[in-house]
Amino acid sequence: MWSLLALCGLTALRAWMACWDCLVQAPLDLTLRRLPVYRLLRFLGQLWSEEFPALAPRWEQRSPLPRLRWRPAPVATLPVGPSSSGLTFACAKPFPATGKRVLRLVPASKASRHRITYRFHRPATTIRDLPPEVLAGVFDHLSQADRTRCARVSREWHIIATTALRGEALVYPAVTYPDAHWLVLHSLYRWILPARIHAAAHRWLRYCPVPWVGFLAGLPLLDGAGLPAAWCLRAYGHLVRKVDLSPGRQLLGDLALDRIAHYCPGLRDLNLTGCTQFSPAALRSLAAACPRLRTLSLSDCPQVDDTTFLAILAACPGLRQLGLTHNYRLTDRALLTIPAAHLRSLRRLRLTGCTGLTGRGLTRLLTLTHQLTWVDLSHLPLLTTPVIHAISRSCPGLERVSLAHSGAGLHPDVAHYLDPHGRPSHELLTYHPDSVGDAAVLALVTRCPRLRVLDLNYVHTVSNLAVEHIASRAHALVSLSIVGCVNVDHRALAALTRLRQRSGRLVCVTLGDAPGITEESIAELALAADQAIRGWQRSVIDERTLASFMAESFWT
Amino acid sequence: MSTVQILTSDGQTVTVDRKVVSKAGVIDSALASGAEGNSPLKLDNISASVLEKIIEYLKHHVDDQPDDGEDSDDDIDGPRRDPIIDTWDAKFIEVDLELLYELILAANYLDIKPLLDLGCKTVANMIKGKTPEEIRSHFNIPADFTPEEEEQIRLENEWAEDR
Repeated sequence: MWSLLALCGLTALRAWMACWDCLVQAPLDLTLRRLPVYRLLRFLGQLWSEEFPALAPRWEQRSPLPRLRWRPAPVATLPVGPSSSGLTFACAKPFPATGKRVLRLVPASKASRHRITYRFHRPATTIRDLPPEVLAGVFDHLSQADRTRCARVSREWHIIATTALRGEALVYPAVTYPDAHWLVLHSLYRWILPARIHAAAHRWLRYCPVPWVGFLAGLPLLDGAGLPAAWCLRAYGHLVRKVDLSPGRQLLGDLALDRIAHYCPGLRDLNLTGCTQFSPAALRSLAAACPRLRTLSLSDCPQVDDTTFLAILAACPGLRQLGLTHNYRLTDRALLTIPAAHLRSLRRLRLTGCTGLTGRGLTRLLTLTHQLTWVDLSHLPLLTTPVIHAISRSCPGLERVSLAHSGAGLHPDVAHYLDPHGRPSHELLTYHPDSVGDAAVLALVTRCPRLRVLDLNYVHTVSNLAVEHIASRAHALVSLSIVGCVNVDHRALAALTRLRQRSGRLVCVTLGDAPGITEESIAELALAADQAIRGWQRSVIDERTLASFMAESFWT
Repeated sequence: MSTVQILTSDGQTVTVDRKVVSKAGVIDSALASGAEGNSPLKLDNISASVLEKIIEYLKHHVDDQPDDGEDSDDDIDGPRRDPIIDTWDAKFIEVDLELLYELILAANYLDIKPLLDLGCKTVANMIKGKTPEEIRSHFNIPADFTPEEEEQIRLENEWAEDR
């Protein structure tokens, strides 16, 4: 009897414990689970937990670690589906030793709450874990339409994929403003007009040929520094990689450069062609703030002096393209003191019209650069043969070389030989010993097998012999200009057609403005026995077109 | 041939040829900066499975020429839009999304440019031709725009399209 009572008491106690355990989702023996009392208690427990939901999720409030003494249910049977944080990760190993796996107790479903189940969650790697620069790399492979669609996916994607910030450069709107007073007005308008009118007005202005009409319409185009307010540098500046300020050349000053330096530390390409208003100090601080600059075009910025040039190269070790057209303040002093390490990454260099440079400085500069593929040495009056030797020795990968109009300053009395149109007369036959001539061209085409474009316009010392060298060695040549080379005659064209037959690459030869090349001589060549120029077509091309082509394709 | 030991994030040590892993910029510079000796190289955020996959990739591409010059030209002339993927690469990158992201992250971290490029191309091919809603559901991205923002973006895109 006592034993029966004891058994009942024990069973009751056990059942109550079971109920308690049920509340905390502990597993029980199968035999106990079948007891009606247990079922009743479990039902009551469920009611309790459903009635007071604040008390119910105790298994979640509780630290999971003490629960681990129970054997987990086989995980393979668990429903595995997408969770809020991406993919759910089910793991067969009960207790992962390391890694970022998080152990969580999850009620598998309402019906089986009595069972304890484990699911091994790991914060899955999703596309949101990719850093912005990688996502930007993904968007680089997409078309414009796809990128526009990506911009509508989420906020982050919008920022990264917005076309104005990625891929295309931020180009200054091509409008000109008469004076700076209007700037102040602009910044006022910016606060008055709402954003939607702003966007519509901006769009309209792009097609507006008369700038002041757009202005009177109340366009809040510019911020206080004169930069377009639509660029939102404050918000998205860190994503900007490419800025073209050349259309705002009359307008932009130090304030604009400072703002760009402050908001765009990741800037890679900057075009400042023709911007004459900023000070060298502002340019130096910009270079210091944007160490990742790869392309910098400072063409027609005469305020760039030796100190600035050296400071830019020191601050931006990755500079690959540098355009320094018509910077007459640049002198040999900079080129002779520049450390070799600062020039290591240069690939394209334009020094057109830097009249302060002489052969000595250029030789040192070009001896130190080893990866140049483009070099524009046109309009350098003091260019000498040692410079060409230096460049052909140190840069075997050269592809485009322009020597047009160079070396004229070597003739001290060259003005005496110029005709009224500024062209040299045929009497200019006594040459400076160092002037660029056939030997220099021979060195260039021999040592640079990848030479594709060569511009020798108005290099008076080049003769038929140089063209013969080119025809026999420059197998990669695509385009050659020899306009105004007074010593070249129509036989050069015949030699070049042989090069075309051999290499199959030469597609464009521009020649003329020389006494040896006339309509009659070309006609004679066409009637010759071997008909060397058969298949060639004539086209009229202005020499200036080629120069502008070089200038434009530099800034891509 | 010398070998390198790499300790992954889950505590496993992987031994590989030095020539194979020297394609990875980070490992190469770590080895070059004098981290020799027997202590294994520690990569805290790369698991063994991902590393195994990366080594498989590097082994296949071990004899490829580093196209440095061409690469720089591409950088200069703007982004490359060439969607063509090599056959072996395409088979290699046929993995689930999670492993793909981890491969991309690891390639970014280890500075393996061709692998990063391959991963980016693969993700770009998934995005191609999908509407924003399809992209959201495919990549499990919540839409976090407010209606006003949505409207503004629509306006902006309209502006960008007829530009």
